[in-house]
Amino acid sequence: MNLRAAAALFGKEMLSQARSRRLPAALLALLSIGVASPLMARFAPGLLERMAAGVGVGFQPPQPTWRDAMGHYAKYISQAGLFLLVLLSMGSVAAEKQRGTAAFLLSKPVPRSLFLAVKLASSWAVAALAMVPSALGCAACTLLLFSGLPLPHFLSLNLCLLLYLCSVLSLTLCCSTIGGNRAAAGALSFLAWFLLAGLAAIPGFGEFLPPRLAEAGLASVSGAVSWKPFVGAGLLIASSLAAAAASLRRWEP
Amino acid sequence: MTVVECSGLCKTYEGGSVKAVDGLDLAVESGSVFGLLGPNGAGKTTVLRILTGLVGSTSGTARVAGGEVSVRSPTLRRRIGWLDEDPRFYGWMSGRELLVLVGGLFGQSRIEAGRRADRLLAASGLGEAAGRRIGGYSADMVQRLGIAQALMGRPGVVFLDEPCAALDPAGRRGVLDLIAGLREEATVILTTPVLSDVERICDTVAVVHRGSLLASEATPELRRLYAPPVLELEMESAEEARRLRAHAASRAWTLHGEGPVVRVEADDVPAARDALLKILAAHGMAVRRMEVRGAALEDVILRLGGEFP
Repeated sequence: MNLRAAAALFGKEMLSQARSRRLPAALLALLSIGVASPLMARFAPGLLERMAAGVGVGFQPPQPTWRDAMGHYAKYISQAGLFLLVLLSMGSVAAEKQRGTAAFLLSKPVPRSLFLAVKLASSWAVAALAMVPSALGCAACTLLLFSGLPLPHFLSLNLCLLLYLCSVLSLTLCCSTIGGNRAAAGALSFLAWFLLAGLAAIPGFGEFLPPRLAEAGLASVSGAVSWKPFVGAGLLIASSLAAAAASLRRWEP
Repeated sequence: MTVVECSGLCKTYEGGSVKAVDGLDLAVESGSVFGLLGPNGAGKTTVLRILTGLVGSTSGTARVAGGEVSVRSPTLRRRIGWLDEDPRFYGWMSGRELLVLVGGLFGQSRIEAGRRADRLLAASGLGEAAGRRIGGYSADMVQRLGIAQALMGRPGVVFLDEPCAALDPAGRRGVLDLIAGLREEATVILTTPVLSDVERICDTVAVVHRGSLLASEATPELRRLYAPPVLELEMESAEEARRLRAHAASRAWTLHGEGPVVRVEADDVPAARDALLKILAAHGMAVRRMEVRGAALEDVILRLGGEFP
């Protein structure tokens, strides 16, 4: 019975993402990032060279390669993607609590943990769906502008970036459950992620934190895989879900 | 058979300083429409929220549809339907989509949920609006949809919290008729602050005031004991009203009212009306208006010994 309830809830979440234009917005934004990354990698050095020459400074940038395109791609997804997904998902629980629709759903035979798990799964699904055109756009442009993109390594980069976004979304879901409203949830999410990013700069311990996933993804392009940030990501996802469940359990509509 | 039973139910807030429900005992028979009547703030909604497991009680016990009520229990929720006082649905969904979603939450397949949704939408007069966005529904359409969604899981007991709140007279009539027809399908427990609503559709009424039960009676009995019709006179002036009260004081009537208004409660209202007309004529008192009207909730609560408001 819970499977049918989960399927019904998941269907409702995806329908909501589509009708509220959150899904198309995420698709378009990440596609733009995917396409823009190799373009920036290819043309930014020449642009800089011409700008430098215009002010009489001699500047000879190195010849860009597909690795630069991957670097731009990882950077933009981990920065702009982070902002975009936090903005799109910060109200997932907070807004439902405020509008009273959470009380409506939870008056049905729906365990609160299931309600949260489906929220998380649907936000991950949106991230995964949005990554597809982004990755395809990036791969196509990179292959067009450069040569030698190793597709298995590119796939591993995308999986790392997806896990990075899923970690961000888990933290956002937790903040959305704890925060009283959409704005508070968004502010809490950014604050918590920036704190994690700061901690990730600490040598040794920081390597285990999920903000290092983008870096790990880039390293995987060269064939070197570090498992350390995956541990941190797993712990962050599990603890975010547990904290959100504990908070929602105490909530009285 | 008793389907809802609670004993010594209490709910306090703010460390016990605010008593929303104070030792409530209640029993509801199956197949009836049961009204919880009381003014705003009487604790009606809190009682319903406890019985539906939405909030926990501070003390006391409650059983609904054969099972002990426990807070946030999905098992309890499979047996009940619930409509909030201010129902909030997804405005971007159509009425049919919402009901199919609710059916899914009760474990129904999409086909089964679709069939039941169509039947309930038709029964609640929303057949033509089934495909329209809920955001465009009027207040009474939302209430009707709320009742339909409360029935999607084939519940044994349906709890409706002020289902007629914020409805115009036509909408109120339609929704009450819809609720009256539910007793064949489920036991209905509804709250309302309007006496005429319970008189119209409820088989049994419990009067709740300040979290306590003042009375629980079959509706005709409640009407007879606590809500008899009253004679209301509006005199030309407060002085005239005072004179009337003085002349009527020796009668076996109960007199209320303020200013120029005099309300007369009597066992035999027609006889009291004739006697009053004689008093008015004999003493040359001018009256602007004289009518027999039904009792209001405040009359019932006053008769039951409660304070109002």
